[in-house]
Amino acid sequence: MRIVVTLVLLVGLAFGATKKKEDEIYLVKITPDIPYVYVDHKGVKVKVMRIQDTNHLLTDDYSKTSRPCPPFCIHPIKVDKRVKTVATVEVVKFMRDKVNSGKGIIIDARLPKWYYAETIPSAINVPFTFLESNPSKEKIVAFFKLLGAKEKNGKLDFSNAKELLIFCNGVWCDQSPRLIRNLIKYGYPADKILYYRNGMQGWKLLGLTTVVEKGNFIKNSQTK
Amino acid sequence: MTRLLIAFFLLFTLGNAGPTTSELAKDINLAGKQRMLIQRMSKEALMVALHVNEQEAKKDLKKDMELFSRTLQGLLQGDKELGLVPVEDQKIKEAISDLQKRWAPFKQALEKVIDGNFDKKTIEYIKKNNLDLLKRMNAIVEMYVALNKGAKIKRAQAINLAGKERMLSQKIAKDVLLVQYGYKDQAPILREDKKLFARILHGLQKGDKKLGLEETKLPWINKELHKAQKMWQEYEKLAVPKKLSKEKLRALVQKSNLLLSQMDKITKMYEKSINREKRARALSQLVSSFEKQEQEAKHIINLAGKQRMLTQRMSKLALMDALNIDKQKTQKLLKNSYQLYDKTLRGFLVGDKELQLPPAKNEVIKKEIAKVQEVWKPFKKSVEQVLASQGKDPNALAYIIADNEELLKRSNDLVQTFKKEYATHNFLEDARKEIVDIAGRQRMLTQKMTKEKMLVTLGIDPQTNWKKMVTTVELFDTSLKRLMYGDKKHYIIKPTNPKLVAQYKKVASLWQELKPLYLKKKNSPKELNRIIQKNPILLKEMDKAVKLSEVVLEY
Repeated sequence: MRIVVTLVLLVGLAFGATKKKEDEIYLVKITPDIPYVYVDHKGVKVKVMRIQDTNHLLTDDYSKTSRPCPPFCIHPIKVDKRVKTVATVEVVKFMRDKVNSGKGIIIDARLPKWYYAETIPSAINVPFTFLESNPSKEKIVAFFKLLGAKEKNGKLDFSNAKELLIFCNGVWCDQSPRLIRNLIKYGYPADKILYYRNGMQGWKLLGLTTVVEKGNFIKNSQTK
Repeated sequence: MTRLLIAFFLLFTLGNAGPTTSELAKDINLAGKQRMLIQRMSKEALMVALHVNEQEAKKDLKKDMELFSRTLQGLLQGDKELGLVPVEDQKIKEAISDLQKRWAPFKQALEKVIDGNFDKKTIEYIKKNNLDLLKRMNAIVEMYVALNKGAKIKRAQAINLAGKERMLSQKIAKDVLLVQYGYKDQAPILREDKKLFARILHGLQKGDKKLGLEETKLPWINKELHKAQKMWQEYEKLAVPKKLSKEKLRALVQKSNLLLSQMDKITKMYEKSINREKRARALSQLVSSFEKQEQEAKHIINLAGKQRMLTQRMSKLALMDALNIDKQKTQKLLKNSYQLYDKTLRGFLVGDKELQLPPAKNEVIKKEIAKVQEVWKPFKKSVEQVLASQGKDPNALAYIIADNEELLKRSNDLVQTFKKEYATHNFLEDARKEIVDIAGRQRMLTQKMTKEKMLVTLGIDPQTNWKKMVTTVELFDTSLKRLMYGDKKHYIIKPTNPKLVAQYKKVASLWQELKPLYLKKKNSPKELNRIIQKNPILLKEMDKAVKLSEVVLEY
């Protein structure tokens, strides 16, 4: 009995030590109980965490405060009353719970050059232009099928369609709202769409990991 | 129309090229599962013989036999419910048919065990022949994995070996049960099987080059592999070649089944991950095919814009040739310019690999190209005459001077037609095309104003050409300001990209130096020389700005 108690204590201490060590390693966590999450970006395992340097400041394009409005005006919180707007923590949880289990897809609605230059890990690129200019029915059906819709008796069944979390550059960017409106217009269920309004600027502002794609090479922003 | 065709092409290629990636993944998984069934059936027969969970074992054995027979048939002829497509590969077909023949007597032996109508010979038969069946089933799985070479599934070997672990989990239990039945020669086989199980499990987690396994980088699968590792550690302790109590044997069988379920779960996860990878790839293919169209449109508009510049450059060079300015260099440049104009114009119509131009399919565009060709043919002839006569054919030069503006007009009409026909109806793309068009026109204006300056200097219709030159200078000036400071009407946003801003500043500084020289009524030879020297630099720097504005991430 004594041995069992000692063992339990030792395991408890060891666990506590590991936990403490982790707390020390991750000074800047995502939430108190999420220091990081792992996600797959085109076959590459990416650790999504925040920059640990508490003196770090943004210096790139996303540090810019003002862009001409129109067209870069601040968007309202809701893109459509049926579409839920989410914040950064929900994106991390979506990665962990939905993307990792294959139930959800993160979509970067910006133009490909932007996507390849830097994006949120695991995101796939569907530029907002994709569903503009009167897309053909074949194009829409092919696209929706790849998102998990099934064709039954000439109609699309969305019951197993993926949940989509869509973002673009930030609150001033109208690319994801446009893609969302078009998705709904062509029949994708609005309750399966989430709008990450803060977008890339919001993601970067919190020092979260991004990925850069050059050819077949995928670079993690937090690895040197 | 092209977009529609591409969509159909994609759908067709994604859906009809032999067994699809996911179908193949399913085949590999289920063929692999057959190996496990052979071992589980052998194990269950031994459980009956050793009276370990006898009734349950009989029931399971019956189910496994049915599933084994059905899957074998399904691999051969397809089974919708199991998600199997009929095998097309002749060698695999023959191997499965051969296995079906060998399965029949083995099945009979198992039925004897279920009926309680068996003896040591029956067990001996099962012991001997299960390995032969396993070997042949394994060869079939390898053949399916080899089919993957064309399908490029990254994790096909992982599906195969994770599937093999299911078999090994059962084989190990069977080995232990055979030892209990008195077959001591089974002990080294048991050791080997345990070693192989541990190695594959490690390989799936960390990679094993010899086994053809890459490290699994998918966190959700790693988590399950980690669980399997823990289960294995417990199972391994029980799987020893010693006489075991009934209680321990029951625990062994239970743990073998738990490990089997876990490995089955992992195999299915690998199979699913392939489907996910396939979906992501197909999505990006679908999207990029349409993106390619957009890129192509921008490229064509840029080249069409460059044609405008070439009309003016040719005229300027023909004049320089007549004035004996840098004779050799001028002639060479003139030749290059007219050949490039000719090649590009032909490329617009019939396509040009080198210039990355597709053949024109749109009737409106074809008609517009024909209109340019109408003016280009005599113009081209005149340039050729200028070159052949070393600039001494006054008629040819006069034709160029008189008709270059018509060629410029028609070349510009072609740019506008391309812009119209490739209309995207979205702000960003429209803005980009507008910028590429205006910046491209600037290149032409640099050449046009120099040509007009020379015509004035030569005294050829000086008043008209002076007026024209002033208009050209003003247009260049206002366009540069629009590009540098933005123009809401034409969707042009003031550039903020440091590289682009710096490039426009460079152009502006050159322009600041040249503009007063163009607008001066009478220039000294030194000033004219400076115009001629600096004009190609202005063109080069403007060209850099056009290219930058095409690629820079301004929005």
